[in-house]
Parts: sequence; C-alpha cells; structure tokens
Amino acid sequence: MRDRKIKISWLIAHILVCHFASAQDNPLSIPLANLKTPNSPCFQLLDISPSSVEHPGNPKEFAVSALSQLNNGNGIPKNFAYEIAPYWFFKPQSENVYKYINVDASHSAAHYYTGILRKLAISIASTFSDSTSGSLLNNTNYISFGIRTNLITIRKNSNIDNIIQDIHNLHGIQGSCTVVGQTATELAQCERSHPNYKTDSAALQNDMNETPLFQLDAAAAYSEAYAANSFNNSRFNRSAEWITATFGESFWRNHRDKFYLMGMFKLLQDKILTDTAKSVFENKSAIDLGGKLSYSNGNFLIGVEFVQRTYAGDKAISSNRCVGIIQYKMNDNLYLTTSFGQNFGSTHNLFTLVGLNFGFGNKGLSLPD
Amino acid sequence: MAADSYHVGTDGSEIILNVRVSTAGIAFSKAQLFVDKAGTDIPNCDCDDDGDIIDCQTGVNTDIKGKMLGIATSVDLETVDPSLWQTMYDNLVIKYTLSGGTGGKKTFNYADEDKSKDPTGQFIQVNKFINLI
Repeated sequence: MRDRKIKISWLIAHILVCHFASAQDNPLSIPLANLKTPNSPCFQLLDISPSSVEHPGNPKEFAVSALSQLNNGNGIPKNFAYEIAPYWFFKPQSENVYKYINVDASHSAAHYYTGILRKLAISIASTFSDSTSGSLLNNTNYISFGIRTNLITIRKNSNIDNIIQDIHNLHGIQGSCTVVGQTATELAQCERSHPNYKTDSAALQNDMNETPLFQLDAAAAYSEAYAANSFNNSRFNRSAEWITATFGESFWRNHRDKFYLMGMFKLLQDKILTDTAKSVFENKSAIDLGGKLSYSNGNFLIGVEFVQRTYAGDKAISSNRCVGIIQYKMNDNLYLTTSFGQNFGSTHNLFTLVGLNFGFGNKGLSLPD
Repeated sequence: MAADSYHVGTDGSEIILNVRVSTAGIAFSKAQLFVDKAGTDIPNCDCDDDGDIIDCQTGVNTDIKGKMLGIATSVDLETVDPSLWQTMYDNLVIKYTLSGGTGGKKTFNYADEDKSKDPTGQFIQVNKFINLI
C-alpha cells in the first residue's frame, strides 16, 4: 500500500508540472516517408527506363512503375514493373534507423558498408514493343528480372556528429521529464511540450535527411524475349551487371537543394539481331560507360545523362544515349518522370517517355533526394 | 506495482546499483530514494546515453535501510521505425542489480505492471521499486 501511495504522489507531482503543457495528440516523429521508388533495373536493362544512371534510393516495401513511350504506340502504358524490398518484411528485431542510414559514432570505415540485404530490391517487369525502337524489336514481349542494392554509403563526419548531438539534445529533454512513478503518456506529454522538443526533433530529421557524400549501388538484371506473343518463341534477350557511384552535395543549410554527380559502369551480354531476313541472332558483349549530372530542390529534379555503349569487336553497332530528365514528386507515394532525348540504337531512337512510379508502405527512411 | 526487496545489512557497506537498459530507442534512467512519500535524487548516479546507470553509490546501508529505491526509465522510440515500436515494447529488457548488502549481488527485473506506453506507442516508461530492508 505504501508503494502505491508513493507512486500516486509522484504521479500527482508530475501531472502538476505538465498540466499546463499543450501536449500533442499525434506523435511528432521523424518522418519515415520521403521514400523514393527508383526506376526498376528491369527497365534499365531494356533501355526503356527514364534514366539509365539511377539516383540511389531507399526502396519502399512495394512499388509499381508504369512507363509510356510517347513515340511508340498510342501512349497507353505497356511497360510495367513490380518491385519489393524484402528487408521491410524480414528485418531482424535488432535493426534500427542508425544501422540503416549508416550512422556510427566511431566514424569507422567498416560502417560504410551498408550490407547487401538492407536495401535490396527485387523486381520483375514486362513490356511489349509494337515497333522496332531503340533496343526493342517489333511485335515482341519482354520479361525482365532484376535486383539492386546499396553497397557503400559514406556520410560526412560533421553530419554524423550533428545527428549524435541531436540525439544528445533529445536525451536532455527526456532526462528533465523523467520522474519515478510517471506513466509513459505523462512522459510523452512532458517531452512534447518541452520548448526545445520541436526544434531538436526537426534538427534530427534534417540531419538524417542530409545527402550522403558518396554512395555505391550495384544492380543486375536478366531478360527474355517472346516474339509474336508466342511462348514458344522465347529466347535470351539480355543480361547485365552494373555499379553506380554517386557523389552528392548540398550548398544550403536546409539541405533541400542537392547536386549529384554520378558515374555508371555496366557489363552487358546482348543478343543482337544480325540477319533480319533469316531472324539470326548473335551473342555480343558490351560495356556501358555513363555519367549523369542532376540538381534537385525539394520535390523537383532535373538532370541530363550520357551513356556510351561499346560492343566488343563490333563498333558499327555501338551507340550512345543522351537524355534529359525531369522528375516531380507529387507526393510521398507518387513520382512523375519525363525523359526526352536520343536512345541507344539507330532505328527510331527518339526517346520521349512519361513514367509514373507508385510506392506502397510507410516504413523506411527519408531519401537524400 | 509489486516492489521487490533487498537486504542491505547494517555493517556500514556501500550499496551499489547498476541498471542496464537494452533498447534501440533513446533511453534515460533516474534513481531516487524514497522515505514515505518524499523522493530525492541520488547524487552522481547519472545514466549514460543508453539509459544505463553504472556503479551508482546509493548510500551506506545503515543510512538507506528502510527506504525505498525507485528507478524510472523512459524510452523514446522516435528514431526507430514505427513498425518496430510494439516489438521494442514487448522486448524491452532492463536489469537492476544491487550489491554490497547482505543480500549479495542480486539482479531484479521489472514486472509487466511496472511498464506502460503512451497511446502512440512511441514512449515507454518503466518504474521499478525496491524496498531496502
């Protein structure tokens, strides 16, 4: 009984302290939205992605991409990709946000390695081409499978220090609010009504969203082609493995604007139609080497990319791709992308595309862009 | 609230408290000594960034005998994925260890009734009371 009296006395004391506080009903949490739905590596393999050099991103649980090439058919999307991120379904209990965004107080180099599974995304895509365009042949269905992940993320030491300092500040608020005998609701009310809570929480959110200095992503994809809508006509179409390195920098304190300089190296195994009359295909190896420069400010991103494709021993079919990209984030779950320029290949290589990327799921962390 | 008890003895020994909090959230712990309804902070018993209290000298056993030791631990899961909050609540582990008394080195756990969370699940509060007898 005496225990209960003590507890009640502390409850009353604390309620008095927090009584005049304007406690919020909703949690003021670090937004875990802002997740991007990057373009699927399946589309990148088929050269119909809005961008061949893709910005790094933390994947949503599930994503659907629909692309429409405006110069191919009637504009109704015929290209669809579905992507899942297994991490959000199978992550271990010991996982926390700092492991995911590579924050380590010791600044150790070992922590730069993200781990293959954390940001792994698996995708499948299908597309139908009703005319020969770019790398696609007419009247052919394509099925593609792809995976991508982040390998290395390096944050600035100052960014890591700021995040840790933000947490220390929140610790201070928590310490001033913690009283023996209180309930969690009372603690929450006290913390949220602390004059520094909103400021410190916003600072933590801002620092967590700061663009990493360097990111290295890897991806691989495989595709099959089905001519004339016939399953029996299946053949290997193309496979590739590639890495993308991204340097990012913000020039303003609010980190809303970001410049990206990106480089991409891809090894490609391709099956090229060498004799149109006899439908003879020949395996070819190629290397893609490309770069991209982009700028984003809030929900808006603009960029230009150039990729040179060089086939081993056959420079006649080598080509390049140069496109401009505009992307607008309509909301946390929907991105609109338009691209315009020259695609690979020599036939119908005008590239005009509109794409919508839908993301599903509220888990995860905010993106650099 | 079911308070545990610890035999402190009367030989003038220092009673040492250790609190270990296992959580991915931001944790803070505070220890106080109660006489009847009045509680006072124990000096030099600050917690570290994990909410742990290391080798806190609660006092000489002859001085604190008959008092109640209260330890409050608050956890803010703001920096943790909300989908993990319930798991964090269910799996929160706090070990309270007292030593130096006739009860020897004894480790206590909190009871389920000592633990609460706010309606959103972001904040967890654990209040542990130990009678020093």
